[in-house]
Amino acid sequence: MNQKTKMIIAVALTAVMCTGGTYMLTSGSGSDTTVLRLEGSTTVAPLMEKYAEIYEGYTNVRIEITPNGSQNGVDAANSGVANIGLSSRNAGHASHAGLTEIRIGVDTVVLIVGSGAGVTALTKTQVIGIYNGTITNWNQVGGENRLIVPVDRYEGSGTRSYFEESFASDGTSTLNINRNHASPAGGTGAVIGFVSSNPGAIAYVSLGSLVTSAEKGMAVALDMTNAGTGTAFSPITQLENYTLKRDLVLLVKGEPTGPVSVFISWILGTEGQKILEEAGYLPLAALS
Amino acid sequence: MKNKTAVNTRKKVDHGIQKYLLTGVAATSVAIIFLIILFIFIESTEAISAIGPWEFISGTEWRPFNGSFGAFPIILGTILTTIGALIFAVPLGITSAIFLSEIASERTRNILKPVCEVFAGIPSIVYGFFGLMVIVPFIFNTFPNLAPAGFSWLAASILLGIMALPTIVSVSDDAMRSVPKSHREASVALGATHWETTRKVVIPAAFSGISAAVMLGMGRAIGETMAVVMVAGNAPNIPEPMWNVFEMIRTITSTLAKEVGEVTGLHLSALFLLALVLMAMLLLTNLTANLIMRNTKRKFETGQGMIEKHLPDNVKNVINMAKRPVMLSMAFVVVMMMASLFTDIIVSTLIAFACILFISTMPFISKRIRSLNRQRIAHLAMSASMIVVCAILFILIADITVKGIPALSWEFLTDVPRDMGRAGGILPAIVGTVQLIIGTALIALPLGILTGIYLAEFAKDNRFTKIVRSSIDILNGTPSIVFGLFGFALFVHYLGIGRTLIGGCIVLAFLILPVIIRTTEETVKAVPQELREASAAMGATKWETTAKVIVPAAMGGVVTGVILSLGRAAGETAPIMFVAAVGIKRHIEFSLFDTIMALPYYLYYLTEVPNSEEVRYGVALVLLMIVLSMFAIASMVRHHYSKKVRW
Repeated sequence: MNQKTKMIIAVALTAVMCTGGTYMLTSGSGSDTTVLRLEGSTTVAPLMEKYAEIYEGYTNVRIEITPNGSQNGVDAANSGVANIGLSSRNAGHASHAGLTEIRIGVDTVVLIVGSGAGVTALTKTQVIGIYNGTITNWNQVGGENRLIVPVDRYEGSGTRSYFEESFASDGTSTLNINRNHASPAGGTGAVIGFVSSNPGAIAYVSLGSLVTSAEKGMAVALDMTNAGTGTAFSPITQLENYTLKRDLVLLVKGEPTGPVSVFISWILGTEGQKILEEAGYLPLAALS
Repeated sequence: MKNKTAVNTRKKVDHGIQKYLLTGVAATSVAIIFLIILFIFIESTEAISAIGPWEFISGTEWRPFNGSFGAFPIILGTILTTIGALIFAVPLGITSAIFLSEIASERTRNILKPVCEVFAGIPSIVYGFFGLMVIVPFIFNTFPNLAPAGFSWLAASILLGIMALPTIVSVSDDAMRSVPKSHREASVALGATHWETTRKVVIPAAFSGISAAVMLGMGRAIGETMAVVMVAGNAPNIPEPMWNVFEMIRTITSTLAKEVGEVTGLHLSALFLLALVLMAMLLLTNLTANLIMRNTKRKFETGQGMIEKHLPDNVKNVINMAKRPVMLSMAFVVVMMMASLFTDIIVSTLIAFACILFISTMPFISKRIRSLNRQRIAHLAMSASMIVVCAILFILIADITVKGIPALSWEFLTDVPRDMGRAGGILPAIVGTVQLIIGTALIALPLGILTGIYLAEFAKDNRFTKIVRSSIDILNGTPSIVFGLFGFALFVHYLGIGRTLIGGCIVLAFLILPVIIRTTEETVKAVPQELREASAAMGATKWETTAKVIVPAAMGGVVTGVILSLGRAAGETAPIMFVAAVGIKRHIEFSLFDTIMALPYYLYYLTEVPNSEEVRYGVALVLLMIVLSMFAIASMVRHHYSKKVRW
């Protein structure tokens, strides 16, 4: 046996031992596991990760989440690729037709601003002005003398289309997101990181994605009446009255059965709703 | 006697079968590139008919959700970032290469050359991460009023330039080293200094190789995905003014990376059309590159290029006379454009004038300096640029190592991710990456090595071989995101099996196939002819010679090439992000049809998770360590064989 063969054998052995070792380390549980595949909205997916982490501690069910947008969630639920499709479109949305909708809570889209903005509340007109590019300095909306750096999301983002739609819904005003707004790669997390490090930034994110109190502190109150004469509701303390709300929806083909139905009823139960509330979303009970 | 003939016939038959087998294997490269183009074309037909190719390319608004698919800002963004990257990387790269090839001592060179190779092998996601954590904040802090977001064309171009540097340095250095010693000696004998020889003899002689280096770097910049998407800001708009490097920009590749996984219908089809545009752009670049290289080669050999040959003398004279003023006025415009970003038009005009004055007096000034002093200054400048290159690369490694080490612990390496990636470990990602490497190797090695052997030993100089070779060239120049798109179209869209390990392995195998083929071919060809003749003289058939003599002799080079290309596969993000990888898995699975977690994609995923900086650095460090250790193994293997095999 020459050097070369020895070396190849050594490499092969190391590889086998590594994989075998890691397998033994981690595969303690039984073999009768069920895998639930979840696919869809990037807004719902982080919440599902949280659920999955806790739920897998109780059962043999494994939960796999692919965050790839609401439309893919609908498609995957229809085609059967996913057991549950995730959607952040409101319940009753046309694209959900033919699927069973299970509303599990409500998400709020909030505006967050950098530390140097100097504003705590914005009106609908101001937000439109900022995103359309007519308002470029924070002192035009009662803040400090600092350039506004609006942050946008990429075109596939459900949060983006919801945000744009909710400012254009009444037909009297249009939000036409202007040129040259940053849309950092990586979505929500990158956006939050960006706003917390950039004093002049403004962005719209899902409230549930703000984790620390410092992050929550970046959220500003919003007055959605057209004239700006109404009350500016804070997304943190007056969640019930806050306007930018949308449903978190699970989509199932047919009626949920077996492990899917058990998982969903756990989410809708006391513990599941508590986790949802702790994550910064509005539980179903708060809506009635 | 009769018996012997039988043996011979059997041998002949064997040879025939084996040859057909090899030919078949070699044809797979052709099949792969054909499949890739076919799938991307089929997927884009909907957009071609619904939007129209011209409207697509010339439209200036990219708002797919409102139904406007104007890709012009995106195509322009790709061109602009590439130009910016070249402006940054070409001067720095070529001067460093001059240092490496002409000035550095053999010892320095032996250290710096492998360092360059290692940096060419660092995964682009790691570069992107470095850009996000270091370059973007740097630009934001330096130009708070011009680039208030930090994300910018400038950031993207600097990062792409850094990534193109190792390629440019390494290939230019090779080109200059291959200039025959006799050229240098003749020049020195005529009384030229070392620097004059470099400038007037070595560089012109190596010019075709140097332009190849620049084109290679350019190809890399156009096709790069993960690094750009993380720093460019990705706003699909045309900078205003067009040369405003501080504005955000969006490239074709970053659009694909951000949008492909999450959209359907016409929008998805438009993205495939965008990929088609990208491939067309790369093809155009390569054709131009070939033309330029042929022309410069010819110019060096015959004294005039292809176009010059057909021009009358008076036109040539005009061109020669106009060259300098044209260059100067171009420099004037460029300086003025850049200066106008900072100040008003009068001041920037003055600055531009001053620059032009300085540039045009340079030759007069330099004539007054003694040639030896001139050499000293030049050498100092070359060394300085090498130091800059090394410093950039050092900062990258140091930043990731220093900030990554606190994250490393036994738990980090052996636990599953917890709290959405903010805590816990990365074991599933490590295992997933290892699975990907093994699977990729199993697919790519037989195909690649056999094709390489075929090309080196059996291929005739006919049309089939030509087609195979150009397929491999095209495959080699295809950006990694296009492989990802192909995998997405084939596995997710067409076969409907979703993200799977096997899909990832196949796509990665296709990606590294050209590299394996080339290294195999080169090393096999490098085996001296005497070995073949000796073997044939002992009565061995061609096939026996190949299997028992040539391949064992070429083993070292092949193994090295294989390990290097697997290192590349381990760090790739774009090909697997739509095909195989998911963000978080809390279990280790060994099924080919399951999704996987992989280190590079996990790093990308973590940039979505707020407050995960420490884990991000940890992942970057582990990924870096895996890739670098594969490089170390490769160089050990190379060393081992170079000591053992001698001829």
